[in-house]
Amino acid sequence: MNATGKKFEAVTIKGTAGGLLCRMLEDESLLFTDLLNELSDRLAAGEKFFRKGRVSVELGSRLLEKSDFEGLVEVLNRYEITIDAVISGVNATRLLAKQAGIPYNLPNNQNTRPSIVPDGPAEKGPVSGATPRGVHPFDTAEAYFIRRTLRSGQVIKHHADVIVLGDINAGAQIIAGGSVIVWGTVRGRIDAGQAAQGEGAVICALSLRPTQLGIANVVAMGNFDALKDPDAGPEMASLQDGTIVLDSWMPHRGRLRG
Amino acid sequence: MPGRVITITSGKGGVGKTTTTANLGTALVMQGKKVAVVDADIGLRNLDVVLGLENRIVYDLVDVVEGRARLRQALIKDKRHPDLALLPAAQTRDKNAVSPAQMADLVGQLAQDFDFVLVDSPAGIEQGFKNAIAGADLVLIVTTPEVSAVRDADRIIGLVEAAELPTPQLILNRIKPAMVLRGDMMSMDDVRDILAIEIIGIVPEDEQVVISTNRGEAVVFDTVSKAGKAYTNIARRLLGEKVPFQILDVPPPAPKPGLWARLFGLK
Repeated sequence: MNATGKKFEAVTIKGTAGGLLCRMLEDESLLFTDLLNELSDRLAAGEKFFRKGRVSVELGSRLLEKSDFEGLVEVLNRYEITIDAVISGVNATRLLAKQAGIPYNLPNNQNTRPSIVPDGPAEKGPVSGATPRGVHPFDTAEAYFIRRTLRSGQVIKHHADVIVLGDINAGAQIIAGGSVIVWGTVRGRIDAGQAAQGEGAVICALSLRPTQLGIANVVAMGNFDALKDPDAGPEMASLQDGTIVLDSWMPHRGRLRG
Repeated sequence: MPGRVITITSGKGGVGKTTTTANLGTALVMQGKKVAVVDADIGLRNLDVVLGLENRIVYDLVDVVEGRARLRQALIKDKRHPDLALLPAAQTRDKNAVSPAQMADLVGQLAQDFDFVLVDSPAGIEQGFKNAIAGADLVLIVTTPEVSAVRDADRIIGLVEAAELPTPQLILNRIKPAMVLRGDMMSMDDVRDILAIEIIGIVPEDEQVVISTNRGEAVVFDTVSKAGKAYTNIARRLLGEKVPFQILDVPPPAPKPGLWARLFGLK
């Protein structure tokens, strides 16, 4: 990742209620291949978060050559990212998307997210069943609220905070850009703070017995002896001096466990 | 009113799906219901063996789906229990010979003529499993009190919910009360804590099951067998009765030392 601060601005990836949105600056003075390199760097930096994700790509009024478009698809394919939609104000670019069998859309000036998020293929398997896109309680809120138990094999990826009313069973996983709060028992794996500056993220649960916990780029394995204490009560995991530390939620009555 | 289609599945193999299907089917017949049992384990059929009907197979499920036989021709009526019928799986084909839509259609037809249609699912989460849950009104998940089996059951529950079927219910099979008491085996509460679904029955480990299975008879006929009793209870619960769970006593350690041995502290 050698991008200079200024050039880094040319590609922005942000979360919206409709999913991840990748914006490629339409400034014609920048070469599209440079934008692609930058995109590639960005994806490499956040690979864990982005891999196998979905994204809408906004290209503004930039005119793309066929090779440019193929390059874009190639970069996203490298990270197994599904393109939800190509948003372009240029007919020819939308046509390229159409030929490639990728959903496309016109830019929506009022809103940064695509106005139509096309459904994926009907047969999507269990993982996509676990992440119903577009089912979001508050359209403007960033947090994702899940009102059920995540079972083995189910993965939730969200760019911001995640709140779960239910358990995270062994074999299930949450990858969140922000913090994760579970009103239930955590037996599976949680990776919080996977977005930039995620070190401040926390993981809270009524009962924390994870197989693994991650905050930012630190991963801790579940220490089974300590974690089997049934009376531990609600706990919060946070990053302190580069280590994941578990604190009782009630600091006055509880004890500190590292 | 059409009958209920109930699929028995597990994820993990060897936990007792087929035994459960055979015994639950027989138990429902003994409760006065007409029951069809369907072997959806195409390529690895064995429900016919457990029911002792292997030698009577002429046509199978795939023959019906592909139009070589009518449903009635393929159904094997158990002579010992006229209200029990088996639709056997094909042995020479694989799971891809049938689609979920064809399967749903088939069990739908059976539900017209029977009070209960029990579908014995293959292990795994692939095509065979998808076929087996197609058209089900209720899914029963069989698990043993082992971490691996419970983990697979959890995965299956997620898949059943993703298929927009009602929340499945659980049969906890092959539990050993003595081991649970010693804390060496997961208890019913432990399993319920993890899976958070309703438990419709617990079946104790019982040698009689092996004996009956090898003879091609259902263990529910054995009035002494605790496993048999457990299956009968599950059948009654399916019919809406409130039946308390059996209290699974710890068997006394055998053989007991005699009086003299005890007096002299000998073994």
